[in-house]
Amino acid sequence: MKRLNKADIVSGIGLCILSVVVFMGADVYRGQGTSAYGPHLFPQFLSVLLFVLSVILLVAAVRGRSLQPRDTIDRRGMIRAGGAILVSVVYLVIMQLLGFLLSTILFLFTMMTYLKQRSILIRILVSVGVAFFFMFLFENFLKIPLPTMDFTFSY
Amino acid sequence: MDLSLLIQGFSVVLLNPVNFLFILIGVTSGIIVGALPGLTATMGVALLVPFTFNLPPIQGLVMLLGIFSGGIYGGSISAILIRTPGTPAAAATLLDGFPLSQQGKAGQALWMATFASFVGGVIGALVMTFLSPQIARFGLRFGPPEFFSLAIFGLMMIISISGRSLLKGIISALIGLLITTIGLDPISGVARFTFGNQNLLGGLEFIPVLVGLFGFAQVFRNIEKMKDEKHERSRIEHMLPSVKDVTSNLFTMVKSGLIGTFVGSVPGCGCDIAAFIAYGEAKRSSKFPERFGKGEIRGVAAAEAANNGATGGAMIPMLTLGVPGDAVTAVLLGALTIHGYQPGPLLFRDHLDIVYPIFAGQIATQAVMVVVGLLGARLFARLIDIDPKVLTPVIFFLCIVGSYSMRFSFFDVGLAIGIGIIAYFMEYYEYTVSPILLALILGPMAEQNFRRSLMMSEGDATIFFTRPIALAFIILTLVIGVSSYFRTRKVQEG
Repeated sequence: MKRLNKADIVSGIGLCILSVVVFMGADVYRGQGTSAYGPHLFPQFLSVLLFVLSVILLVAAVRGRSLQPRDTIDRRGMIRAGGAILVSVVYLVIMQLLGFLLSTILFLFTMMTYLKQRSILIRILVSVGVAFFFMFLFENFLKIPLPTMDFTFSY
Repeated sequence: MDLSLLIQGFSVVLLNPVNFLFILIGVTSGIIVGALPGLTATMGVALLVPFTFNLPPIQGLVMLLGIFSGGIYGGSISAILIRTPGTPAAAATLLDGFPLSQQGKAGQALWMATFASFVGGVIGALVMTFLSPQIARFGLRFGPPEFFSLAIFGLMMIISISGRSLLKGIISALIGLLITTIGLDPISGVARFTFGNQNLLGGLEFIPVLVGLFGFAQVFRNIEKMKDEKHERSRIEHMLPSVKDVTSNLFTMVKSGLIGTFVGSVPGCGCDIAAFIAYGEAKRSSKFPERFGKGEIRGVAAAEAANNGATGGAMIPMLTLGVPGDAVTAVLLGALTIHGYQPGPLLFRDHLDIVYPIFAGQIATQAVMVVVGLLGARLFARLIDIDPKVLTPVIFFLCIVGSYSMRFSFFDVGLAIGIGIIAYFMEYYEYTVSPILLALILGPMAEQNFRRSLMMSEGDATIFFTRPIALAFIILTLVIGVSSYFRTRKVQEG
């Protein structure tokens, strides 16, 4: 039995809108190059192709002929992943305040706790060990400067 | 092919102990990454590329080559022990590897996988070394129309083997190509789609996009699927196969290595396809095909020789034409670009100082891999027992640091996380992300050569059809597209 693929309908509409926006946005660059084949050409060419394919996708989805996903998203799992992303955002903020070492220890410990890792000893050892190891590796071996504790933000 | 240059390449790679150390680090890291389900060789290379930026090019590149070969081999460890291939390339290995493990012959299967990987890898490296200069010479005849049509051909190859929907694969590629138009236009210097943000003037940086597509997306998936189950510890006994096992399978390993090399050299056909084709051929030509799938050690030998042979094969189009053979070589292409080298025919004209060390590094990697694999098999098997609740946060952290390390920019980290979220949802709705990666690499080449071709022909688009090499690529693109359409339609109807 053919059924509507709602995800494809939504993504098809979204892609159609994106292609129109890109086409109109690229038109601003018309005439800015030194030849007729200026900076507007390629984005507009691509956006026309994208629009056509999005319409085909939309029509197939409405007629129930598009591919149904093989796997479904586990909602609880997705929320868990979302929580992990929030933890990482907090990590990025506090790294700029507290520096790499302390914030990394806190991040790893928090993430393992959040994922319900049972042994507190392992959580402490891994957090501290990994943070020190990578700080040594980055600063002494790979020459990658890491944020220090200076309470300023930069992007 | 200049033997003196190859000898010089070997001396550069091996006589400097630091270079040799980086090969060792790369191979060991690659085996670890490859052995762990949930990580792939592509992800391993992607995560480590940012850290090679501050290394001398040769050291960074030989380390990445080590990760590539080690990662492809490492997937066999988990395939044999826990029936879960660590990388897609080991999917054919598990067909006979796991049954051997169930029969108490895990050690023999692992040893055979190691030795077969070595044989196949050496064959792939040698073919790459001797064939690449000839192909590069042919590539010097390419002009803008040929490079544009080659880019389109490369994209269609990746699209055709990525996922079950050709339409969505092409859409992914178009999205990738659109992403490459962000930033300064390479011909006119006009800033496009930057919205006044200085961070976007150079376009979206390759590394954060790569880490987002393959690193963060996989981490989010692992967290989503995480369960509260206890691990079973894996067991290895009977490490060594008999001499008869080795000698009776040597021909299969050589044949499979050659099959793997040539399949891997076709852009878009990766190590996993090579492994299955070689496995199928070994079964077909065997006197006892009914034994395959039930613990036939020849099946392990064929699959592993082919998938490591394909590592050398996949490097051929990447180095000679600038078109990657698979997703990993797409990342390696990005790594070469970051170090200031543009893969393609001109690499062989202008940068032999890096080409021959790459050849030597690829050959040396196989020798290091067999030694590390044999000595470390039991230890690597223990890696599979690491709690995912410990491993996943560490990988998450590596993704953050990896995307930060390119420009020391938190903007890049945010970008990588955002792209990771998009890629996470895309894969659920059957939009594969490999075409986006390849489009990022080939997009600038496609756009510049498209516009240059039109300038050359004063707007006459038939230039792409009147030059024989360009026309050949376009015809091949259409053939692959049409056959892929019918194949995916069969899958959808089935």
